[in-house]
Amino acid sequence: MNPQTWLEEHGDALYRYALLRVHNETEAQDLVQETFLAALKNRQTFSQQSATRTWLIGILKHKIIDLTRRQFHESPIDEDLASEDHLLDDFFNEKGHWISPPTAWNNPEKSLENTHFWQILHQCVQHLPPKFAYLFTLKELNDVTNEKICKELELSATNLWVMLFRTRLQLRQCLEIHWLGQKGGS
Amino acid sequence: MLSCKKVSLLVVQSQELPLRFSQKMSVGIHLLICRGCRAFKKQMTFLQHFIKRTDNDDFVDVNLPKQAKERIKQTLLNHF
Repeated sequence: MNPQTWLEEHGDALYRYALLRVHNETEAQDLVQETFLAALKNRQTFSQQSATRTWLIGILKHKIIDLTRRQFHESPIDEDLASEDHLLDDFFNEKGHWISPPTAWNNPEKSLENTHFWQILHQCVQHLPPKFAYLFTLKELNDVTNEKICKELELSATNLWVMLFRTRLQLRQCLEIHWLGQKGGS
Repeated sequence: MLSCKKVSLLVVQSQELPLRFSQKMSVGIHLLICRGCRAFKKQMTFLQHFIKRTDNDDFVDVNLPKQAKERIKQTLLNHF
């Protein structure tokens, strides 16, 4: 095991992993650096049984969770979104009907091949209100359970679901407009 | 009869949690008659499927920029 070759062997993979989740290049680069530094400091504890890549990704994942949790708590609360009762008002009327019903996407799989789906998704995530973007990041780490997210972010389960729901609604709308070029929503 | 708001929330939840039988029934009936919610459900499945592909990092064609790599290398050497 040679820390000097880590960067060459694993740098790109760690960067991709981070970038796909934090949606910000500078932050992703910093995370990669912090991961290597932490790995360097703890290289005695590294067990050869786990592959170096897996070990490094594990450290990176913790770094992403820490960063995201901090950002979530530090980001200001958007006045309009502070009240859970009104969180879905942009999408549903008082009777619970769609204000602008989703229309079927034509051939999304095909569009996926010839457009930069990920770039658009990144842009759409960046356009979410900060707290929602950070929640999305935590959620997409996959192995962070809802219970853990609620605990880390000090949210109730209902809270969490409404926020996740709004995130999906907003991403859906953003993708429809910017990726598929369909005339979406309001 | 459930509203679109309620049904689409259940659709999002059902991607992670099993719904109760009665919920499944109500959602199923609503989807039969509501084109908007049907489109929504399809799109959520699509979205989830493709976001899951982030686990395969080869899917994205980006590398650590040279400058960043050099910077990180220097930092690591200073700490080695």
